[in-house]
Amino acid sequence: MVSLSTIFHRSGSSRFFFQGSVAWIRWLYVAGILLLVVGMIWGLFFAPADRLQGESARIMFVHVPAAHLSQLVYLAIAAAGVVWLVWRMKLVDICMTALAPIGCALTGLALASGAIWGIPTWGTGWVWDARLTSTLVLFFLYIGLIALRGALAGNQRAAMAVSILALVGAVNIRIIKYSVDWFATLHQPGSITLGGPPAMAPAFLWPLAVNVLGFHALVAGAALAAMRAELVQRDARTDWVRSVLNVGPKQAP
Amino acid sequence: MMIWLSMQRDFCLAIRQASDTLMPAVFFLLLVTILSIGTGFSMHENSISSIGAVWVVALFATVLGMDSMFRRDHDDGTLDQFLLHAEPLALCVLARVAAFWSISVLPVVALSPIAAWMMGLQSGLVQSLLVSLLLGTPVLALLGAIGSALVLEVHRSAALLALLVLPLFVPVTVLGVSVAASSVVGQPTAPLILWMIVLLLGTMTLSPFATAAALRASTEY
Repeated sequence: MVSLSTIFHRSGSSRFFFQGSVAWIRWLYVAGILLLVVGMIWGLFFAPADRLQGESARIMFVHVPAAHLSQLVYLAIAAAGVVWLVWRMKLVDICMTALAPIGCALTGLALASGAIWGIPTWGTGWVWDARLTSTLVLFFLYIGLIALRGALAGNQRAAMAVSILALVGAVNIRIIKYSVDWFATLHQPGSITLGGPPAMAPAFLWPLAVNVLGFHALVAGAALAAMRAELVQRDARTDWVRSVLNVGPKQAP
Repeated sequence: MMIWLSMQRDFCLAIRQASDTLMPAVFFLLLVTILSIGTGFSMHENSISSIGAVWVVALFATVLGMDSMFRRDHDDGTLDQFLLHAEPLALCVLARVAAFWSISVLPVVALSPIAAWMMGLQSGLVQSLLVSLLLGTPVLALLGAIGSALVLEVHRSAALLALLVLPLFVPVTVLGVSVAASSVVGQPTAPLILWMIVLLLGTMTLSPFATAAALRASTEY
């Protein structure tokens, strides 16, 4: 019987993570692809067309999961920043490094899919609306995190700087949301909220839920895979990487 | 005590290096000129967009000097003394930001009525523009301090600094322009001004600690 604290300490070990994450990645990818295949076929072919928007409403099966995850990933990075500042765990820093480009791509996907939907529906791909503006600012916050990481030499310094920036950004993104709400909002309010029945017909809600779950699984799998790559790259000269990759022992200089 | 000495030193250096000190103000007027030319001299036709233009130009002039907020202290070792000193680092940061604001940003704010007048803003609206800039630019300086502490060890950091801090400037810019814009349409500006004070006090409380942590990150590793 393995105690809880053993599990906690072992999960912070690079080698344990590298070997244990293989199965997780495999199953997360399988689950994500299956869910997305089911969800997309359901959403694109079997769900009814929207009464007002027609077929174009179907883009929400991509747009909603991407927009939702773009915010969730930023929150995860900020939470990882807190954990790093308190415990200085190396894997947490690697997690922040791996998540930033994924979050950036999801934010870009949310903006692009929103614009594609907006052209037939709103008559314009871009308006300076509260949600759109704050998503665009989130996109720039992600780019800032990636650029700061790239510009700083030394993993410790970069980790601390990125943690601080992620925290400042997380406080700021809330204030940005409130501040841009001063402008008139064109974007419809969220249809699904915690606490309260969803303002969406079940015919759309179920395929949407399947797609959201599928995106979650794919993003988690991609994050773990990116973490593995980053870990091997950082520890390339250590013995454990040489032994798990079968490169042979370190050569004497 | 040490805080006053540090500010005294900053002011003294600013007077001795007058050409550096005047740069943001000159840059501000230059940007106003370029912006007026770039918009085909049409700024004066719309009060709200001329207010927005003055705000954005003042923001850029602030960003221009930000990169050097801690750079000189870092290069000559003063920053190490701050880090070692018994005074809390956050307090030293606050003093540095206050000195930076009075030296590089206050001249820009002082010139903004002239810029507004050049852009054809009615004289009755200048007052609210001035209030919004006086309350808003310290927030810019405080947020910029976090960014400039983060990029302290980065070579050629000006572009990276702008990328890091400009997204953080969104709320204060929105509020600042709204204060001036609501006086254009004759709405009461007091509630928005109170919100700006809230933002200023909140930033003043939190940003020195984030800046201090960023300075430690840049110097200790």
